Amino acid sequence: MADKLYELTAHELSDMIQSRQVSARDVTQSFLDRIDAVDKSVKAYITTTPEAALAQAQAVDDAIGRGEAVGALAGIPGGIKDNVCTYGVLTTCASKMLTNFTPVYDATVAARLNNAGAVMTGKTNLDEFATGSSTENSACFTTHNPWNLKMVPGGSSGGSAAAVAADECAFALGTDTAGSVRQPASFCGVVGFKPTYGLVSRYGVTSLASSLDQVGPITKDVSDCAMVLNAIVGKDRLDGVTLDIEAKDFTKALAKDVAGLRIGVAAECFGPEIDADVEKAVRGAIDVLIGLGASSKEIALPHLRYGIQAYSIIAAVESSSTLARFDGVRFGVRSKHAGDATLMSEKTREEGFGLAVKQRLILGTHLLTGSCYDEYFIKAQKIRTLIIRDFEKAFEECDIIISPTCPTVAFEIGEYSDNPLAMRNADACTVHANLVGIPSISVPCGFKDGLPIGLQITGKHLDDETLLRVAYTYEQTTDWHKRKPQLI
Amino acid sequence: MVEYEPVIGMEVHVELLTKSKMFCGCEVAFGGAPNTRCCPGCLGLPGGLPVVNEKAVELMTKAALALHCEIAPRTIFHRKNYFYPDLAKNYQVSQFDKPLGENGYVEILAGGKPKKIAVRRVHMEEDTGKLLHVEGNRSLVDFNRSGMALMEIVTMNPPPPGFDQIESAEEAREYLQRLRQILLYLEVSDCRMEEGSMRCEPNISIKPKGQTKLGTKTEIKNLNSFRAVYMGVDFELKRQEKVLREGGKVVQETRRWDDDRGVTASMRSKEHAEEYRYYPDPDLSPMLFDEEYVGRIQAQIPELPLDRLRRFMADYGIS
Ligand SMILES: [Zn+2]
Repeated sequence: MADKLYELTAHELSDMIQSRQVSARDVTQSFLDRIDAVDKSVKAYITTTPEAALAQAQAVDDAIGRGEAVGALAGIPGGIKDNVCTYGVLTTCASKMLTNFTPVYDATVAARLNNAGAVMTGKTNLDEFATGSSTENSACFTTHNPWNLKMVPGGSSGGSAAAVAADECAFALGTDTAGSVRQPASFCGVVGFKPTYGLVSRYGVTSLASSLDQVGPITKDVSDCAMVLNAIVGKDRLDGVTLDIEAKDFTKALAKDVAGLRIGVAAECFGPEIDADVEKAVRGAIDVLIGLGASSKEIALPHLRYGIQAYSIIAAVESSSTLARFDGVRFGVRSKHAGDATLMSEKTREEGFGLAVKQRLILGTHLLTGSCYDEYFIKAQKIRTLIIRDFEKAFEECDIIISPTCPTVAFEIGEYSDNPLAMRNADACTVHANLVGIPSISVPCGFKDGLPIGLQITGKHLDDETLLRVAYTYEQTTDWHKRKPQLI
Repeated sequence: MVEYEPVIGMEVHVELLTKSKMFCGCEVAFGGAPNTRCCPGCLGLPGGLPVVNEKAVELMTKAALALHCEIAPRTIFHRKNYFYPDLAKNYQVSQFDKPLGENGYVEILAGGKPKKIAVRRVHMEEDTGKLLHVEGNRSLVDFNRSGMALMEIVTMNPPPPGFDQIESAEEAREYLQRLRQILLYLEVSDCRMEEGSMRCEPNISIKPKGQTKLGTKTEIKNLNSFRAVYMGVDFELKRQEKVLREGGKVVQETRRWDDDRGVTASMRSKEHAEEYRYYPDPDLSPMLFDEEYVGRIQAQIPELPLDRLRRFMADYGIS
């Protein structure tokens, strides 16, 4: 067992470290060796930090050696999406704009992982500034899906999902603005969780769309998900929209129990864009839960079909100002063609941003101009409100809603290169949880042509525990999460 | 000969006497080494986020109440978008259609007679950094001031029935002095014009007497003393009258007061309305003010200078 430590889950490793069966250093070394062996083909990491990782692991071993109590995540290697600021470690957002940006501070989530004793293996690839669904918009390189290297890993947290699936870390952090944690988790056959908006601090996370962004764990199983949540959730005085709730132990939600659970199933979530085999797998998963004592009910979410459009408008508007700070004045790469201040910011942005980001910024700027504000932005906000009401109403009749995480399994790298807008369909099932601010999780529920299928469970505001319980129950009844891609 | 009458609006910014900035914990102080009092938030670094300084909100509510404003039960922050090197995020967190206070007034004495100068709004915003132009055609930016809490007080032209507007350079100066007195009394700001903790940008136009349609207005910047405000407004009124009398047209523009030469000079044309693409800042939750809060702040307001004067006059029969 010990020769393939990297194959284990975080909670298994945690038990072994705490009981001194293995050292944190050996665990970290195992993952670092694994990265050396497979990242050439997966390309999940933009930056790896092996020396710092071993030093962190050593510190955990030293603490255990002194008989100090260490937390569950102590000595567990994790990757962090490269739009999360990490003190002294290059943070590029996969953009040319930030190829030289080394933050002078830690994002709250990074600091909390650090305080919990977690070991950072490195910074994972993403679509530039989290704009995309495949990592093909990364200015660095495209990450490959460990299940089939010709396929995308999903995005924007594609590097994080691929790293976990390829055992290049025991867990990873992603950010989810429209499905950017869940969709890549689905494509890579791992667990991806977007918590209730406001549960996790966004401080130090390079924002794309502030009202939608949420940091979430990507893990090998649901127990690991709860473990990582325990470390990162909680009020942060540096992020004014974090919720002031009491500390929770999410591992307490890990019970195999769905008796009496009411599952909502909406026809709107099984539209024509959903692949037949994906639908079959998801409906099969619902049957599994019914077999364990749950019931299902048809619910209506009539405004869901406007979700992608509303999201596109809101995200474009918010990112148009959020990304305005990238001007070459205070940090990042500055254009060499800077004659005066105006030219400096213009040229810096022209040279620094990639096409997909520029498209979004131009759209967002335009949507705030003149009558567009009322015609599009205000309308999008109204649709958002209608979707929120749809879910409020639906949750009067059910406890959770089940749908596919994505309409299809992972697509081929380059498949949408001529038609990037068509890729937005990849977010069709996930975007609503962000618009509404409710929790949503993706767990593996089958395969098609050797590629994983994701089951999405969405729940009520601040009822993150029920999601974990249902996901855990399903996972423990099936063994999809135990399958591993054959990389070498 | 046509007689002209002036229409003078006043936009006043004051820095609040808070220990820390509007949206972060950085210390507020004057001077010091550049870029020593900033953080990811007020530097606009990736991942920096704003958190409202409750003390600043309290001070502004106090000021708005002392200026007889109605306090909005719910107010939000907007992002005001424009690119400028001293603006860390390239948007300023400000207030747009839902300011903290509206419909107040400042009482002044115009030639001994009381006048209620109508105040349209009192709102909160964050300050910008400071550009320093140095040798070799280079510019440096100091972000120590970036994110400091600013209060903006804007007069209303034309005023509603029962209220007045500023109609001369003397009244402009008197308005500013009364405003300063109130804010000093409340300990809301130290109102030092020379240090920039009180900044005044009058906008000025003239129109033939009796005409309702307003003339083209100009805005004056760089008025660093009460004397400069008086002189600048007076100069601008006379300049505009001369332009019109000579058959010319007043150009809509921002003009800079040159204290040494005692003149205003064109800075930039404002022919095209600037588009700031305001929209609600998603990083900041709406602020709610209930009666209990407003009542509590109201109770902290001491008797204001003019009120005290009036009381003395009544009590002691002075006139
Ligand atoms: Zn600061």
